[in-house]
Amino acid sequence: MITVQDLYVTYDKRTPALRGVSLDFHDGEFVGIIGLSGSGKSTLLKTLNGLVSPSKGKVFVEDKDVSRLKGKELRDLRRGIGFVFQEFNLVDRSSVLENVLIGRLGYQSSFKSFFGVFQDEDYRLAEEALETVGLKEKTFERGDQLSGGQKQRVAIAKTLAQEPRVILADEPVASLDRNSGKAVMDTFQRIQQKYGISIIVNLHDVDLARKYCHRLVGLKNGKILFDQKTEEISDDDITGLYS
Amino acid sequence: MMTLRDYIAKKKKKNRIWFFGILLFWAVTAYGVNFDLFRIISGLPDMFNLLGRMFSPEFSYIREAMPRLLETIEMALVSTTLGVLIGVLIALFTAKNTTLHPIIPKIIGPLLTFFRTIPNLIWAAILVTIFSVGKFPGMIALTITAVLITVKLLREYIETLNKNLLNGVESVGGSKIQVLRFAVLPTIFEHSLSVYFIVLEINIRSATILGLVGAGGIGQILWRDLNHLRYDNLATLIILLFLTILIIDFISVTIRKNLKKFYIPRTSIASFKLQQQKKWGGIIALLILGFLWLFFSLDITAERLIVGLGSGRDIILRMVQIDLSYIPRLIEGLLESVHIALFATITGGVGAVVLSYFTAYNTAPSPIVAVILKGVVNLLRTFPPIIVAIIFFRGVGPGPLAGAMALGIYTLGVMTKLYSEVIESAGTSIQQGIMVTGSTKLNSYRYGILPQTFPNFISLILYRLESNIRTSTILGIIGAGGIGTLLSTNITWRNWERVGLLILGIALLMIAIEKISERIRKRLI
Ligand SMILES: Nc1ncnc2c1ncn2[C@@H]1O[C@H](COP(=O)(O)OP(=O)(O)OP(=O)(O)O)[C@@H](O)[C@H]1O
Ligand SMILES: [Mg+2]
Repeated sequence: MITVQDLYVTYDKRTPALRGVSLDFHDGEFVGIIGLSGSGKSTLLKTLNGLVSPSKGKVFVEDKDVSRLKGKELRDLRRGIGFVFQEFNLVDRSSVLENVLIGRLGYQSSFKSFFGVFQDEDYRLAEEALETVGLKEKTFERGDQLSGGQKQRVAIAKTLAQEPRVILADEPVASLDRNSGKAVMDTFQRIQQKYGISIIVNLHDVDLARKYCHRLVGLKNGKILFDQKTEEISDDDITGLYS
Repeated sequence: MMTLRDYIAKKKKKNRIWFFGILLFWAVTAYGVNFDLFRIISGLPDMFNLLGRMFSPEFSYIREAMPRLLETIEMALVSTTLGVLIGVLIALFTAKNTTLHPIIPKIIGPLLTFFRTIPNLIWAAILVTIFSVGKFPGMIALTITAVLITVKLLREYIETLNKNLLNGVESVGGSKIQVLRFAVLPTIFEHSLSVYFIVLEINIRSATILGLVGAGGIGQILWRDLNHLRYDNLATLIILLFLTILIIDFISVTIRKNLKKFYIPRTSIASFKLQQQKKWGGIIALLILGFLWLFFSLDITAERLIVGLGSGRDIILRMVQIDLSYIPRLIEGLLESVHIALFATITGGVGAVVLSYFTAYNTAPSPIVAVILKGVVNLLRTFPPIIVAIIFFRGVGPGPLAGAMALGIYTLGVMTKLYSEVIESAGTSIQQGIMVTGSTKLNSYRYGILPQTFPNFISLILYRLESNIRTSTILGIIGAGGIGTLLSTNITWRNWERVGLLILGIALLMIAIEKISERIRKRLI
């Protein structure tokens, strides 16, 4: 579904972040990307939905070359890809419901959505998404009244409202305590099982990655060190990654 | 190696140099504004007499002035509403992080900076010659000010918004407009409301004086009474203004403090949808109502408007052909304005250092003194300086001294309020750290709090200086000295080439002062 071919990303023409990465992501997978800080995990995820452009190599999503998309086409691509940020990126002053409805914006004309006009279908999807992440009772609360873990689950509900084929998550639990982190990872797992949406998640906690992900990609200095099923990965692989 | 004694000697010398330097500087500016203590003292009885009359206003005259007062409030309300709405839109499209195209802030930014340097009384004076006497020119002038202030306050705020917030909408495939509508607008909403009330507080003050140049409102009869030397009527008008400003300030501050409590949670999707519909219905109704109000309250015909626009274009075309031969007079006028502003800033600033000691709760000799002084200070800063200048006319006659004294008093009020708040928030810890050594409250102020908070003081006084220079350029319009005198005569005589030069001169001076003060402030931090 997503194909990455010999990808290079260099920031400011000086800092190399990715140096020749090739890999495939398939439908319904739960993939973890692990590696040291600065190894290029975030960069890899951001090139997948066009937030960062490659300096060399290509990314295909459903056979579309991401770096060639612009304007409307790029927005159409993005609405089919959920993106979950480490810092949640919610609108704190809006209600939970409004935040989730933001996930529907890609399907609206700018004009209509300016007046906050959503269809019944949008509301239904938003409600269902909140139900899936277990926050239905918070629907009308303001964003800033939630805990960090709840905010992240609202962010996930927002991506669910996009009806995406894949959800990308960049260190979604790094700002959370252990328990909230687990709740968030459980939510991802549920989504992957229930809807068959593939999950690609950056993690720095190897234990979490091993527990939830079916496949792990190890990045080191912008290159792939290993890319295997989780159960095939040895402790030596991990030690090699973090040395 | 510097010995301790050297250090102490040096420090003492430095303090002394500063002290005499400022004194000398003050003396120069005092000379520049014809400062004359004797004249002020001998004028005091007349001024007190005027102030005394304010306590026994003439009710028959109040009835006559009432329609004008209502007109003033209406002007402030309508122009603030319109100006803030336009200002929010401009701010959204010119903030660096939310603009539709990076070139837009680069063009509009400097343009707005230029326009901001021109005081709104000058806008009004020019607009009056274009659209004739009435509230229409006043409304436009106030709206322009409202737009400019809103853009400045809001744009800075928007630019501090996190990139993450915008990413959250961009990543779902939202367009730029949708980013503005769903991420930025909800986030700045509360702040915009508070900007609205700040602008309202500024505009109600401006609205009272616009009439001095014929731009509607109560200022117009104020001007008439001033010219006829009807000090009895003036006293009545001034007390009316005072109460009006006080009431509007009170409402505004109360609302600003309680903004946070406005969120009403819903209980079901249906009620949420209903609320959305109601909200937009309400907003649209309000807009229509606002425009209707604007339309019917404007005292101008379509013909007059078109004629005005035509002559406006001619005036602009003449203004850009600045009259360079007028430069000597320009410099003379600017110099007098700068003298007035500096005199007021130094006098008011030094006074504020002393007065703040008695006004801040943690340093005042007793809480009662602090409470009383807080009241007095609020009184001092309620009146627009140009109105206080009128009171001084009674004592010392027209001229730069009246303007300088009025501006000085206003500065004293504003600076004491702000600086005593700084002292209060600097907390009692520094003070106690010194008092435990057995030192007095006064010494803990002099050697603890004052040095500690001095950078804040300088930064506040620099802002005040900027604002004072802006005000000093308009005092002359009523004859209180400075470049405003030249401006108003040349506007009256329609010497637009000269007006162009004067405005350019003011703008350059303002920009220079802003740049200098910005640099000093940065170095302080
Ligand atoms: N916007 C940027 N501009 C310049 N350099 C960047 C930028 N973003 C990342 N880099 C650099 O690119 C390299 C890879 O960064 P990236 O954020 O992809 O790593 P990461 O694996 O996500 O690290 P972390 O675990 O700290 O998030 C680093 O050297 C980083 O300094
Ligand atoms: Mg990262």
